[in-house]
Parts: sequence; structure tokens; C-alpha cells
Amino acid sequence: MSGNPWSEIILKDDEISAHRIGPLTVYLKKVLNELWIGSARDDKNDGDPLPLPEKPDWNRLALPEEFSTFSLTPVFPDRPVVADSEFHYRILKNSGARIYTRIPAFVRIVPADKPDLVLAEIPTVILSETWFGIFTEGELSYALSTTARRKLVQEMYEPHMVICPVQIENKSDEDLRFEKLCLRVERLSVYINDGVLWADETSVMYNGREINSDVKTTGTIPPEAGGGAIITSPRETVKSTVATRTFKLLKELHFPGF
Amino acid sequence: METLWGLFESYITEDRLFQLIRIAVILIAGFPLLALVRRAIVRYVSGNYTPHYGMLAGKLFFYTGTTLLVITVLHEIGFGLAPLLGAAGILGIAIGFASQTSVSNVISGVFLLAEKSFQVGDVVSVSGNVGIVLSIDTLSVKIRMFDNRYLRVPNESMVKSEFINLTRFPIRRVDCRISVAYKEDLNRVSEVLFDVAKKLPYSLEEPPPLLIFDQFGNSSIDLLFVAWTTRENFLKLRNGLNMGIKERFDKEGIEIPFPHVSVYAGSATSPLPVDILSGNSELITEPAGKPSLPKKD
Repeated sequence: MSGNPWSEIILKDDEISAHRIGPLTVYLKKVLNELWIGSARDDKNDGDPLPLPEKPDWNRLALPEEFSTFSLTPVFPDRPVVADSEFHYRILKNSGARIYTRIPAFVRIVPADKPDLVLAEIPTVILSETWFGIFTEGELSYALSTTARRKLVQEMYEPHMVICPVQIENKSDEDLRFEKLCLRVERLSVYINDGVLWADETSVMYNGREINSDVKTTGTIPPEAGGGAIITSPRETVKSTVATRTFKLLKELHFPGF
Repeated sequence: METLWGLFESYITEDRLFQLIRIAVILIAGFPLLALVRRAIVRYVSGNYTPHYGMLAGKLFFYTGTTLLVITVLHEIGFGLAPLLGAAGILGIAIGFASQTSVSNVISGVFLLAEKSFQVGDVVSVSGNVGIVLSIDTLSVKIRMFDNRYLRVPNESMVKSEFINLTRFPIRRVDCRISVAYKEDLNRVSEVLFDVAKKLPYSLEEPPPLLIFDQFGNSSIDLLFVAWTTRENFLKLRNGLNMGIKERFDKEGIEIPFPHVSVYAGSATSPLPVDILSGNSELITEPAGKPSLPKKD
């Protein structure tokens, strides 16, 4: 990994500063106590920042005081994320598996002196929406275009992607066959080591079709990361273990509504 | 005049004066107090539960309180409760006969509230009228239609007739009925339709969009394409989907055919007789089987 895009930015009055994070380029401009924020995206995941569009779609924010240094920090999406398993997956009873998903981070812009004052959050990748649940109840979530994998490989490391290790344990009396996995990312922290973003290790205990799974967030950096420091706290501070619906089982929902 | 004053003096004794003052205090303090507490209850219940329950709790409190106030005032005046209830029973029967519709609406209102088929804030369709439920009152349901007209539906009608709650469930399906010409490659049409849905931000990936072959129509192959979205984004997806499909069909050269009719006179092979009008509207008639060009001037 080369370069760390998650850095502090010092802005001079009326000067436009452009920063590339994966496919996203963020433009910042300070005018007195106003901060102007713009963005653009392309299909590449690295390179120089994109030139400012001819008609940038600026968002103007009047700040409570004049700041000159701002931070770009990675944060998880604001909704749960549904990941596809690489293939329809089957975990036999009393077995377990460790999988890795990559989640595109949102860029959070804050004044360096006041990290609690969130000025904007911009997704590095526009994620499509999906429904996790049944027709009468469920959760609006983001759908991941990338699939979950069993092994970490070099191409998974990208500056805008957070790697989430998930340990799945099947403690039920039946085989777990699933095609999708819902990650409650709002409960996860983001860690950084050598420019790679990592999430807390999450363990999911499957207890059976009719029972919610126990999802446990360890609150520590996973061993695969080889160390590192926390960069963003979870959006929601909750109990370390929650019981929630996590898997979309095979042949569970799919009647198209007729 | 003196006789009247005398009568007044004999009626307004000290006890009676205090009684009147008590009644005045009960009424003057009671109703504002009821209104204040009702407002607090509505705010609390709406905040902690739903506006529907807030309204229900507020009404329950207000009507109970008003009844108690009236009974208290009557008691102060000197009416006994037992004969009053007896009289109320007889009066109730009389009023009941006289106002069957109103009573039916009141009872229907109770059923509507208990059944919870819809709540304040839901979007409902009643007899083809679509709007947002403003309140469920004693006699009627008040609805603000989307063109900002005010619709009052008697509770009895709501109980008796069918209505559709459009926002009961969190996701909704958008249906697009599409016709394409017989010459089109349906696999290509299918690819285009799914691609249009995929590119629309409001179209949910799950439940997935679906293409259904509807029928071989008179002038076209009729298809039904459906996609899902959250109830808030229903109109955005419907507009986006229909406009996107038209745009992509134009770009890809996929024909949306107009209804057309082939007319044959007698046998399928003989040409039709044609009347051709010349420039000066002179009628030129050619016999069947001999088509000709217009004559030159």
C-alpha cells in the first residue's frame, strides 16, 4: 500500500483542494467561515485526483467558527451491508468458517480540532440499495457488489475498502445454507495499519432457522492486520453481543410478490 | 319589578350562591385543565408510540373527563345520578332511533381504531381517492388528497367498503406494462430492462426485478416488468423506470408499436380499391386491381 489518503488538510482561503480516495475525489474550498464541499467519481481505484467538473455541485456549510485544518476519516456506511457469499455456502452443524468481505468506506469530513463536528459523509462508492428481510418487515440495506472470500489476497487491499473478517459458527442442529450475509457495520470500528483499513473481528453464531443469530463484535483489531490503531469509533455504541437476523438462507424469500 | 326581585332574593340563598360559584369554578377550571392534560397526553403518547395512539389516548381522556365534569355539575345542581342514568337510557334509545347513522359511525370508528388497518399518516386509497389520513374521528376519517382537497369519509363507509393502505408495508412493487414489436429479440429486450432497473438508485436489488411474458397481443408482445423499492421512493422509481425504458428503447432501436389493423376486402390477396385525391381535390377513382398514380396537371 502506498500513501495514506486519510490525512489532515490545511486549507487557505478561496483555494480548492482535491483529494482522491479510491474512485472518489473530494474537493474542499474554504471561504471565511464557510466550507465548500464537492465530489466526483470515476471507474478507477487510484491515480491523481479528477479535475474539478465544469459545474461542480458544491455543498456550502456555514461553520460556527473559522477552521483551517480538516480531517478526512473513513467511516462505515450508515446502514447494514448485505454481502453475497462467493457461491451458495453450506456450513455443516458444529462447524465454522472464517470469511472476509470488503466494504467501501464513507469519507467523513471533520474539523481537525473538533472531530465530533461531522460536516459531511460521502460514499467512496455508490452502493445500490437492497431489502434484507421479508415483504412485511425488514431493513433497508446496502448491497455489496463484491463477494465474500475465504482467503485474503493482495488485490483486496485498497485504500477505500475496509476488510471485515467474519467468523461464522454453526451451533444449530441443522446445516447452514446461505447465499447472503447481513453485516451490522454501524457497530464496527475502523482500524488502520500500513494504509489498510480493517474492521473489528465479528463472530456470528447461527442457532437455527427460527432463532436469531448471536452477533459478537470483539472490539479489537483482527490478528490478520498485524497491529494497527483505531481510526474511527462505531456509529452506534451497543452491547458487544446482539441477537439479530444475519443470514439470507437459500430458498427463503424468493417469491417475487405475486 | 319588586315581585321579581323578591323572587330572585328568595331563590338566591347563601347556599345556592356558593353552589353556583362551585359550578362556575368547576366549568371554568375544568375544561381548560382537560384541554391542557389532553394535549400533554397526545404529545407524550405520540412521541413514545405513534400519532395514532396519541390521538386515541387524547380523545379517550377528553371524553371521559367531559362526562365526569358534566356528572359533577349535575350532581352539584342536585340531580341524582340514578334517575339521570335511567333518563339517559330512555333518552339514549330515543336518540339512537333518531340518529342511527351517527351511532353507526361512532361504533364503526371504534372498530376502525381497534382493527388498526390504517393509522394517522398512512396513505390510503378509498373508492379511487388517494390521500394521507389526517385523523380518525368520532364520525369520520379525514383525508388530505394529493391535489390538496379535503376528503371526509364516514366511518361506516370505511368499515363497509374496501380500501387500500398503500404504506402499510415498508416496500412496494412498481409495475411497468410494456409492449414491443413482434420482430424484437426478447432476450435483448430483457437485458435492456434489467439494466435500466439496475442503474436506477431507488430500485432494490432484493427482491429482484422480474420480467413476465404477459401475452401475444394484437399489435405487440405484451410484457410486465416489475421492480421493488421502499414505499417512500415509489413514485421516483415509477417515473425513473418508465422514462428510462423509453429512453433506452429509443437508443437501442427497440420498437414500441402503436396498435395497427390490417384490413382485407374479401380475399387476402386482392388489392384494396383506392381513391386518390388530386391537388385540386378532384376525386380520381380507380377500379380495384388497377392502382394508378395521380394525374399530372
